[in-house]
Amino acid sequence: MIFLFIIALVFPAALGYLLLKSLRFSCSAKTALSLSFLLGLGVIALWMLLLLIFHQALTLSGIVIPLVLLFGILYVFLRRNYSPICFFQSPPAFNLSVRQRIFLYGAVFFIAHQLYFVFLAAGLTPIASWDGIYAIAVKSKYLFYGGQLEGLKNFYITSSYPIQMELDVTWLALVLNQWDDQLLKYIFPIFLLAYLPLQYDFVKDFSDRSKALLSVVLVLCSYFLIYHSTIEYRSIFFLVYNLMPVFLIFRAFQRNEPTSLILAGIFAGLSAFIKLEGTGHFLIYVLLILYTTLKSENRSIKAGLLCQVKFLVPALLISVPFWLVKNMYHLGSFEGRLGLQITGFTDRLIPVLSTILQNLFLSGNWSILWFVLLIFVLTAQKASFRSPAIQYIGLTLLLYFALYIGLGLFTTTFSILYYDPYTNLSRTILHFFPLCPILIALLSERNKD
Amino acid sequence: MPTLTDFLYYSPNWNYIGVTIGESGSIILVYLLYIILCVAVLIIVGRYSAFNRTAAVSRRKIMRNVALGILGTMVLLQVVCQQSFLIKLIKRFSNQTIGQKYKYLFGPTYSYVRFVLNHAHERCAGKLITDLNINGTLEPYILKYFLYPDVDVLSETSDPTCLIIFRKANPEQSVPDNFEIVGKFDAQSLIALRKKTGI
Repeated sequence: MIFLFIIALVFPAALGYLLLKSLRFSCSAKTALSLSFLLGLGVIALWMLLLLIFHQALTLSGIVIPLVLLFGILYVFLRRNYSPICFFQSPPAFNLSVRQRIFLYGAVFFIAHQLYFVFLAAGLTPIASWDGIYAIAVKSKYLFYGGQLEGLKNFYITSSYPIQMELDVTWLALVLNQWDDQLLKYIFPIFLLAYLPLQYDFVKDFSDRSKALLSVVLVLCSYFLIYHSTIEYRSIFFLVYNLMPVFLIFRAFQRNEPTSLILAGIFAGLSAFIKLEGTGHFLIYVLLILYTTLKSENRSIKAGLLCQVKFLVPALLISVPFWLVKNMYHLGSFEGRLGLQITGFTDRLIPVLSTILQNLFLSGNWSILWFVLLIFVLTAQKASFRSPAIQYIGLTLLLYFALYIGLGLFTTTFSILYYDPYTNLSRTILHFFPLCPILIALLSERNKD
Repeated sequence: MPTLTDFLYYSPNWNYIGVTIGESGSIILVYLLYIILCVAVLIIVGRYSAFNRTAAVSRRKIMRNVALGILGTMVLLQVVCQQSFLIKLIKRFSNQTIGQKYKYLFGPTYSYVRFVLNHAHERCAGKLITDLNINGTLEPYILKYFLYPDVDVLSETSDPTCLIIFRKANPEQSVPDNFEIVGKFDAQSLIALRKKTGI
C-alpha cells in the first residue's frame, strides 16, 4: 500500500518535471522536485475535472495514459535548448565558524524535529478534522466512489468551494484503489515538506544561505502552521500555491526570466482552483507585476502589458474551468454572500484593526514572530530598505493586509472574517504568514564571522 | 482540563506553551512574555547606556537579540510541549485500528455508524432525519462521511430505501408506513428500511 502511495506522489512529480522542462525553467534540484510535484498535482486535478465535465469515469488509465502522451509530446517538441537540472551538485564548501556551526546544527535539528512531529501527528490520527469531514474528505470520497459532479450541489455552503484538493485526494485514492482514512492524510505534511525548499531557495537567491535557513527555521516556529500541516484543511495547500506566484514574479524581474512569469500565472490559476480567495489574490499579483515593471529598466507600457498578459493568460485558463462547472451545476454561491457594504465602514475600522492586531500579537498562532518583525523593522538600518527583495516582500505583506482590511471595511466579509479574532482570520493570515519570517530573515544582519 | 480530543481540535486562541492552558491563561502568558521582553530590553539597554557608552554593541542589536532570545525560549517551550503531546498521542493511538481510533474520537456517533452499516445489508439510498442543525454541527457530516458509499446519504435522493434517524425526538413517528424499523440504537436513533413488496 505504501508503495502505491509513493507511486501516486512520484507520477505527478514526473509530470510536473516534464512541464517545467518544457517551459525551460532552470532551478536547483530540490526546487525542481517541489515545483514539479505541485505542478503535477495541479495538472492531474485539472484533467480529472475535464473528465468529470465530459461525464467520463475517473479511472487510472483514463487519467494516466492521456497525460503521459500529452506531456511526452510536449516535452519532445519543446525540450530543445533546455538547461538540464543537475541532481548531483557538489555540496557547498563549508568553512564555518563555531557560531555558524552551532546555528547550522541547531537549525537542522529544529527543522528535523518539526517535520518528525508533523508526520507522526498526522500519521497517528485518521481523517477527523471539521473541514475534512464537513467538506474536503467527504467530497473526495464522493468523487472517488460516485465519480460525478452532479451531487456536489448537496454539500450546501461548501459546494461552491473549488475542488483541486479534493481531486488530488481522489487521485491518491484511485492509485491506492481504496479509500484509506489514514494513508491519505499524509498528503498534508508532504505539502509542508514540499514548501520548505521553495522558500529556502527563494530567500537564498536574493540573500545568502544563512538567511535562507533562518527563514525556514522561523516559519516552523508558528504552531498554527505546524498544526495545519497535520489536519485536513486546505490552508496548507493554499499557502503553497498562493506564495509561489509571489516568489516567481520577483524572480522573473530580477533575472529577466519570462518563464517565471508564466509559471507564476499557472500557480495563481491553481491557487484559485483550491480556494475562493485565490481569485481575489489575482489583484495582488497584478499589482506586484505592475510594481516590478515600474522598478525595472524597461518600464514601457507595452512591456508592462506583455508581462500582465504572460501572467494572466495561464492564470485565467486554469481558473476558468471550475467557474464554468459552478455555473453548469449550480454549485451554490458562497461568494454570493459577499456584497459591497460601504455604509458604516468607519464603525468597522477599529474592530477590524483591533481584531487583526489581537490575532497577530496575542494569539498562540504565530509565537511572537510578528512582534519580532516589528522590532526588526523599527531597528533596521536605512540601507536595508533599499534592498529590492525587502521592498518587494514588505510591499506584498502590506498588500495582503490592505486587501483583507479593505474587505472587512467595505464588504459583507466583515461578519465572516472578523466576527472573532481567531477562527477564520487565523487561516486567512496563515496563507501569507511565511512572508513575515522571510522579511525577518532578510532584515537580519549577517555576522561577520 | 482539556482532553486529548480537545487538542486534536486545536483552538488557535490557546497558546500552545503549557499543555493545559486554556484561552484566558494563554493570553496572560503572552502578556507575561511581552513584559519579560520589555523588562529585559530596558535592563540591557539601561546597563549599556549607563556603564558602557562606548560599547560596540548597539541598542539596536541588543533589542534584536533579546527579541530573538525570547522567541527562542518560547520555541523551546513549544518543542517540549509538542513532545508531551506526541507521547499522549502515541499512548492513545498507536497499535489501534482505524475503527478504534474513530470510536475514541467520535464516540456514540461512530457507534451509530457501525450500527447502521450492520443493519443495512446491501447498498441503499438513505435519507438522514435529525433534529440536529445540519450546518452547525459535525455529527450529520460524520454520518454522511462514514456511511457513504454503503448507505448513500450524500446524494439526498427523493426516493430513499433507507431512513437514518439520528438524535430525533420520537423517532418512530418519522417512519412512514412503507418502512419498517430494523434496529433501534437508542431512544432517539434508529434505522428503518423500505418494506419489500412481493410481486
